[in-house]
Amino acid sequence: MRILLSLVAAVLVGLALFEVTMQPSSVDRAELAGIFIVMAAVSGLAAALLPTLARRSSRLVITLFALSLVSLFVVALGITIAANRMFFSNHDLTLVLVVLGFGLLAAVAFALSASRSLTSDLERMANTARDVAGGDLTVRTGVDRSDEIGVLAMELDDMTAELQVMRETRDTEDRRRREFFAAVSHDLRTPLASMQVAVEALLDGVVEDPDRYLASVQADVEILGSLVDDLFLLSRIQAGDVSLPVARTDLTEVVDETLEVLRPAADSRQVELSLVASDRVVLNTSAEAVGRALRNIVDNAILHAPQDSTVTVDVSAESEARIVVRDMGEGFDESFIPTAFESFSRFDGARSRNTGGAGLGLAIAKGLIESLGGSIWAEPGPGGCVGFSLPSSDLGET
Amino acid sequence: MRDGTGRTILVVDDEPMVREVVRTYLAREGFTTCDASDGESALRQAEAHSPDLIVLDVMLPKLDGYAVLEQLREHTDVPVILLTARVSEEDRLRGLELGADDYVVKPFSPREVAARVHAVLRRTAGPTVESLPPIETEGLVIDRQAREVIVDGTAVSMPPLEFDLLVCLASSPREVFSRADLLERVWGSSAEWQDPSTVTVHIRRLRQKIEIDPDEPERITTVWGRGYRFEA
Repeated sequence: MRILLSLVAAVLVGLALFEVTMQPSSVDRAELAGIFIVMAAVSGLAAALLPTLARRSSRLVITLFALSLVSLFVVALGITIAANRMFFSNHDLTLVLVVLGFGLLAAVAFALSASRSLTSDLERMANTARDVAGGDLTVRTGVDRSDEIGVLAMELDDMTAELQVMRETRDTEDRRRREFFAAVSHDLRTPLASMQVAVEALLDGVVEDPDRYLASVQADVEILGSLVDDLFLLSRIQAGDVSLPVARTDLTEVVDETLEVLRPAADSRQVELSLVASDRVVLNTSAEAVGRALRNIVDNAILHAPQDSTVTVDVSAESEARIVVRDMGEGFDESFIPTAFESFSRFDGARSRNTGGAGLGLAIAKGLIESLGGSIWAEPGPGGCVGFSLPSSDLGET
Repeated sequence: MRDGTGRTILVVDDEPMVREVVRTYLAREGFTTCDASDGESALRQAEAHSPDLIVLDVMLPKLDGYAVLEQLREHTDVPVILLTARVSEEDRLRGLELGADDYVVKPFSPREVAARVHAVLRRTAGPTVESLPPIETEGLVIDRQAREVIVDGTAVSMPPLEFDLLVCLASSPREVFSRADLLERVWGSSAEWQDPSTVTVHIRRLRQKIEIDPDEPERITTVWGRGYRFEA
């Protein structure tokens, strides 16, 4: 339909041009209209056939050649008829036809050279697509053109880049999962190993003070119990399956209470706990979740604090409620900060009773604080520093 | 009871209970023991006491067991038994590649560790020259004195455990050894404590080193349902 309309338009424009430039007689006008209609009909026929030819053709060069051939043929047809009517001598007509014959050869050359750049770009895209299908996501087409083919190449490259990002994310997740299970398995085996040797020694009757061995087994059972609890809590936080009842909470009170719970543990390591707060800070939040997060952070600080030092907890409220825990230990290494809040990450890479539990404490704290809409951070040493803030919109006065 | 009198064993583990119990069992068998709780002090203790064998945990603070083993191997051949909580085969074999003589997977039995200590000491005791001539078959020379294996003219390096496994099989050509036999003879262990698949894994690694085509073994063959044998 569109072809038909454009052909009619071409005929009309041609006639109008003829009218304006030559002021023809009515006979000439009718004759020219005839010529135009014949040319338009041939073009229309070619346009109708070309898509089928193009789709069947195995090589792009054939299509391009056919395209230039059609335009040339239409022009040749028009000129031949017109020349005939203009009473050209036979000699002149032959000359025109020879020139047109040359044009035909030029058209072949044009089709070949035009198709080369096109086909090489298309080949590159095909190769890229094949490599991508084969799993190599680093390949790009390298096609630089702004036409439809260029757009297609760009889309292909964008898609590959997108796939690459997705695969990298998946690989990272897989690696994390493997590391997580290796860490869980290690942390379960270590107390089990300790229990196994103690129990076997008890059974073999080779120990002089069985009570001490039993106490050690009991401590291992407690470690295993709290590890299982922590894992369960962490998996619930990560699944978003933890309900945190929100109520008006005096944050300073929560900190005070947490420090009181932890004081015996701090005393046994000769570490002082101190609360620094200028005012009461009251906001709508979950006292239980904040308390648990804070307990894990302070616990960690106590474990890393040197003897006879102080762990301070700073509570403040300006644009947001902020709690910062500082110890006088070595603090976080700059390189460790990005992974400090991941499960089972420990800076020395080894589990030991001296430097703490399972390595889930900060991961749980982060999970809880973030589900309350807050954020948590660590600052590089010297001196351990972990802080968190809670959303300001809930801030209120007593 | 076997006698460890006059020999010193260094026990390295960050768990005090593990150190204590392993030391107790070794002391009962006459060994002198010392211990260390992290990698750095393990190296210091090894320097100070020149132990006859080291029982070394892999996951240690400061310097892990693999790193300790690597540093030890730079200047000493002291036998090392690794204690590992790691589960993957890859992790376990890494220790052997680094030159450990054996490994025990946590949680373990302290009796088992004591038995392994004896087995490793026996294996590494150093045989006398005249009693052990090299074993030679077509294209394969096992020099028991120098602990060297030459396959088709090329020396092949292998961890002590694999070497001992090869020697055990090659010393009695055509005799079939079950996995339990091999656990007892080579590891000084038993199927009660050690998974027989350990043997399968080491046979596979051995074949990769001495067979022309490890998938079609000709030197160490499997006798289905019975075990392995060395073809003369």
